Amino acid sequence: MTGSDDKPIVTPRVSTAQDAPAVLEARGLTKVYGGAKGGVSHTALQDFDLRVERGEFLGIMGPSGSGKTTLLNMLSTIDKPTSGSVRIGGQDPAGMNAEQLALFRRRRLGFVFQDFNLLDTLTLRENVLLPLVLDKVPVQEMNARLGRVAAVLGIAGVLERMPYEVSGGQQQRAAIARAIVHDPDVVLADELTGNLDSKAANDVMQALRQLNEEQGVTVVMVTHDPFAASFCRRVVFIRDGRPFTELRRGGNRQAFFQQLLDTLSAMGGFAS
Amino acid sequence: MTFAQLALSNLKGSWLRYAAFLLSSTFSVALFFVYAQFLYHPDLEAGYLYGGQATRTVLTVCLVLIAVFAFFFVLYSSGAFMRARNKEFGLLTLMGTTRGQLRRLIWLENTFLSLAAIAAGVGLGLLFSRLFLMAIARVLLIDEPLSFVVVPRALLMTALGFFLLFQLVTLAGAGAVGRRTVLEMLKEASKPRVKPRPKVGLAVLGFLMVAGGYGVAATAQGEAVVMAFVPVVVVVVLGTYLLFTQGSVFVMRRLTRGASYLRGTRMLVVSQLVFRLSDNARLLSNIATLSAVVLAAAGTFYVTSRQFYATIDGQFPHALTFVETSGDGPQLTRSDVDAILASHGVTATVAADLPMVEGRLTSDDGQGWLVLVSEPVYLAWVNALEGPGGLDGAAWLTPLDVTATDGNDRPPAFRLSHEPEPGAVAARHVTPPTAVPPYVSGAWYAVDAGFWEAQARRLGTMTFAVYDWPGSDRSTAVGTAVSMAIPSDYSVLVTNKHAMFVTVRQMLGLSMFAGLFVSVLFFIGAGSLVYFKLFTELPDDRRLFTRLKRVGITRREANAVVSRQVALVFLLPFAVGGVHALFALNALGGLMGTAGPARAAVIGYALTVVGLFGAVQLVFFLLTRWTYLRALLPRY
Repeated sequence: MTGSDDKPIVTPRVSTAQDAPAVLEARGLTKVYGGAKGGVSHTALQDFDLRVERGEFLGIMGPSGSGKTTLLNMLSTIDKPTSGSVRIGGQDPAGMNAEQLALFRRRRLGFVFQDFNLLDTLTLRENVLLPLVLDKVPVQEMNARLGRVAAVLGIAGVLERMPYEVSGGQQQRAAIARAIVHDPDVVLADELTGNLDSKAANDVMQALRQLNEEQGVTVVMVTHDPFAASFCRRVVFIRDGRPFTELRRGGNRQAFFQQLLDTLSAMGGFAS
Repeated sequence: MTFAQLALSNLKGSWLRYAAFLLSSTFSVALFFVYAQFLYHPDLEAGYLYGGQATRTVLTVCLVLIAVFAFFFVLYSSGAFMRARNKEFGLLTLMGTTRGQLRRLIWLENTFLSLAAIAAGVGLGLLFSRLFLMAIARVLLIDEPLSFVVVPRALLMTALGFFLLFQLVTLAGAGAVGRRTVLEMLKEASKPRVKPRPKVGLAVLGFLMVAGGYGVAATAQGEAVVMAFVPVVVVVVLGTYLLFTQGSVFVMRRLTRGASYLRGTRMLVVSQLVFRLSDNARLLSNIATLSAVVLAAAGTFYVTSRQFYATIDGQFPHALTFVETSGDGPQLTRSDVDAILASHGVTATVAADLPMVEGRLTSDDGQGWLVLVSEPVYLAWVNALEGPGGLDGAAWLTPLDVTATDGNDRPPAFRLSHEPEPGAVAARHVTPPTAVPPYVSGAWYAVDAGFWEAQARRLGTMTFAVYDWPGSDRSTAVGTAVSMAIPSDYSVLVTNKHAMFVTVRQMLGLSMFAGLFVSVLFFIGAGSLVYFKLFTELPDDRRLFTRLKRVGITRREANAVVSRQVALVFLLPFAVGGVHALFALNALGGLMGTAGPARAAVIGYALTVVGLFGAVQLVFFLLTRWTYLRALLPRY
């Protein structure tokens, strides 16, 4: 535990929320599935508002079917909302065509997935460099950026290995390296500890927190694992497609973890 | 549920997965059946076939080739199909299916499939039989197309042969399935792909072998080509194998070190190809070798047939020459020919007449026939033809007294001597500037106009006519009409280039057709195999591109990545085979001892053949790319 865990987090920007530019802002997000041909429609997300500021480490928690994956898909521009809007770094992805969206994702967003999503024909180095390679960044700059992120994530020694040759934790840290190597506006993570043992999960979350605190990387993470969520500074709970409650980490992580567990059992739907 | 029902519902449940295998099997059956229908056609059995037994042998060899090809085709497709289903077999084993039951399940499924394929193939074959028979009738210039019948022998051979073939392949596949452990089968899908490491020594050896073979093929002349043939082929085939298995990986690995590797989509293309090429190396090198064989065979055939036509051109510089006699009886006249040309709207490019006197000749060397022309008239005629054939040598002719002027046993009208004799006139030997009909193939002599006039009055004259018109070296309506106008017992008085071409074309046509059929069959088959292999890798590729899409790859980039891979896998074997074939055909040029422009012509013909098949392969590639992209990136 570092000292910062014990200090209450002061968020002075909350008071100026109206004028400070949010890095990610969702307003009135609604997603309705089906029902087009008279079938049963299902509202996965209902009038959801979310505001993420630069340097935040936000967790989104909720039971299965609560709409958190739907929310993440829309924040990551993979899916389009039925109504409402998303703005990332001041831009609205709704007005972009497929080509612009692809470029937007690889330049402004970083993704970390539960199944790592590394390409198994590429070495870890090549996997991490992928967004830069696709954008034809000069080799010298690529190597400089790679050196920085590899050192922070502790994968400098295994960069020449293939994904199947390293552990799950190393694969996920390589995936995080790929998600931040191009300095995205926000990193979106989906159950990133879901496939890891507790030791590896701890390593990965420590690394992510270090990136957030030391390099100011903005992270939005969807999870149902309270241990992973306890690394966040703010956690939004979602149930039945609506915001349920919100917790801010005030004290140390242990206490926050307990708070999260309490909230989850209050929500129901979680066996603990 | 009985076992047979389980097998059937497997087929019904995931018919899409079986579709590719079923289609490729149906295709093999249909091809074989169509070909057998032709080979055992009653009209051909009755002696309709040009070239008789020799042609039949060629066609039978083709049938055997198709059978061998079908065997490997089904074997490959079945193998790929089985591998794709390993996970399913693993699950069944896990749930307690015994090895024997699993084999029985596979056997049942494949038996159902093969029966369906045979039925569909025969049906498809019947549909195409008619088209095929019409096409072949056209190639062979048969006026009446072969009648459409179902040949029992062909049907029986196809059904029985393919049933046995499928059983054989199935038993082999089912046997192999039982031997693997559950874990191996279950892990098949998620097996990590170990990065292939090339053996550099073998890659270099392969390169040296191919280069050495090329060197010999490029320089060998005459007899040396025959001596070198077998060793060079063996060395190049082995070298090709090494190049595909080791060299391709070696080159791809080298490319990962290049400076441009880390720019744009190239990294994705190259890193994927390392795996794709090494996974498919054996198949690709087989296709390259077979492409070379087929192209070289087709090229050899094309080159020799071109030479055949060139020989005709050399032997018959003019479209039509004939002799118009003053006698009665059916004969071809200049006015006949003029009328035919006019009625077809064709203008003769050459229409030159030469009056001549014909008579029996005696000399110290024996007896023969003499054609006497007037020197000034002859020179004018030659000029009109613009052909070679001047006057050479000198001899002396003494007119002899004759009374009888008809019949083959008429007495000699002239005596030829090599020394001046009393009463003899000087004559010069003439080499006719064109092919002449047998009737006037005797010795040609030119004499002065006065002497010729006297002989014409004494012995009578006839006219030698030479015609040319555009397109006379092809099968045209005019050519046919002229050929039809020639009386049947008149052949000694005519040379007809058009008729010669038609005869040669009928003779070469069948072999050309058989060769073309086998080549096309091969390329369709090879293309289908690569196509099939590609589609077994579709799930992997889909997973890959789902990942890439999330990272933010544009559709255009994804297109480029897929297209370049498919292009290389599809076109590389063909390109290698094409280059092999060009060197082989160059060696053929060396064997024929040709040099200079003739050698260049051989290379030109070879390029034509390789280019033609290349174009077909390119179309096949574009179609494959299109379907693969649609399957891989349906909506982006």
